[in-house]
Amino acid sequence: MRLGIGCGWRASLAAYIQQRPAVTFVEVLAEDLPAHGPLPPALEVLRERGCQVVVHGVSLSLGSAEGLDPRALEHLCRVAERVRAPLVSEHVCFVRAGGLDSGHLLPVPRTAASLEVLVENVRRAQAALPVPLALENIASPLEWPGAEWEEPVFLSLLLEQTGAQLLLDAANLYAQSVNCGVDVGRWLDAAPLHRLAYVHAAGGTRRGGLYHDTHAHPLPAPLLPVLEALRARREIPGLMLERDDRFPPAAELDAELAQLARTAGLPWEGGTGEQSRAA
Amino acid sequence: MSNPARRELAAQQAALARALLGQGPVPGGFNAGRVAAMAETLAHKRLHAAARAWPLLARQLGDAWAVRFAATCAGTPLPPHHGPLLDGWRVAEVLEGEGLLGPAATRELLGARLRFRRGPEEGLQPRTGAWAWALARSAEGRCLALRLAGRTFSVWLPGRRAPSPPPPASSPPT
Repeated sequence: MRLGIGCGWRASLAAYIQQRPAVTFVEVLAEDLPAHGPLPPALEVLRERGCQVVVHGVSLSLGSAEGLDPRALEHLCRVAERVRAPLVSEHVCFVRAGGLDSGHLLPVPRTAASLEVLVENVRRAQAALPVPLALENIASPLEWPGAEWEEPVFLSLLLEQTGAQLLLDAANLYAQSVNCGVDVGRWLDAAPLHRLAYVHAAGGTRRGGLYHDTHAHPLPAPLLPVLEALRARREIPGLMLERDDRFPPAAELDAELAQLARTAGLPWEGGTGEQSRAA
Repeated sequence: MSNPARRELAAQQAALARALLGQGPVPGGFNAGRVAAMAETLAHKRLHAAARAWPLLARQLGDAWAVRFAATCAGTPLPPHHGPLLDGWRVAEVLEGEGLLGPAATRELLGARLRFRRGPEEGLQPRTGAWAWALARSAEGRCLALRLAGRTFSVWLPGRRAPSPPPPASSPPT
């Protein structure tokens, strides 16, 4: 499946995306959409023009040793059905533990026990979901003690045992290279790129000596070499921009999407959308 | 997996979550500086998520939003469902109790009350009935809202700024 160039669908970007026929897929946050009742009409307009809608979850907590929250899984399934998603994605992380919700994607230890929990939870999610699942690497300045594997090897084991696909977040990988000294080339060499479904790119900023993947700043220049290094190893089937806040003028988003398309070797035809069939 | 191994991992995850939410010490083996940095990121994210869920309330408070939020929500755990909505709801209710809720934020609170009921514990239950009503007290008076057949109606009630319990509707306007 080839997704092409995409953009994270947010209510504030709905009008922008609607006028960009070159955007061939969007990613919606499962938590932003209702399981019942009306969906945003703008999404229906996109679907009608052939734009694919991938569902992305942030609260399933696949790494939780306490197991999955059936309500979160049920919601993810319903939303995936409602938008007829070709694919659902989630993170290799935990969100909840001990009755607390961190509201954030937290790292899991890279140990055999943690891998076993992830495999079990991922299989359970796959059994419930109507479409394939892709798993994303997160950014975390925190490292658990006692890691038994490097992150790309851990991801390979997880995907091998579950058959899940890879959602590679290039900005998270860049953050890991800045904050934790990860070598991007070595990481990519060891990662399960043959399972690559699509790629995330986003902006961030440096604060307090750390790089923060904020989704609220322009793409950092050093992100492009990360994407080039990926493309040198594997064709990029889909690449999307995540922008969640401090939305810039349309021209700035156009420039970022065009740059991503060029870097990934993906089409960005008539990007600014004179031929838009927007309703 | 054996239950003890799973329980141990669950306990380790809970300990890390507590540390990151400012409710426990840094677990052994973690870099304390990095835990503190991440805890700050989490707090910042929670504050902004609530402001996004309550744009009118956040606009009314302006720079005071962070102070009000810290006083109301910082000591309480983020609820597992509808966290940002519930966080802002708590701030709105504090202002409502003080008679400081502006008209726009009052409508925002009424909108939340028409969609959800505050459960017996900390959660929010969707109000799925065909109709619902809600009442909120603003700086300027009380407002009654009604949701019926998918439409929302609201009306400002006569009466002065009401202490709790509300005075009779015949009270003269201030």
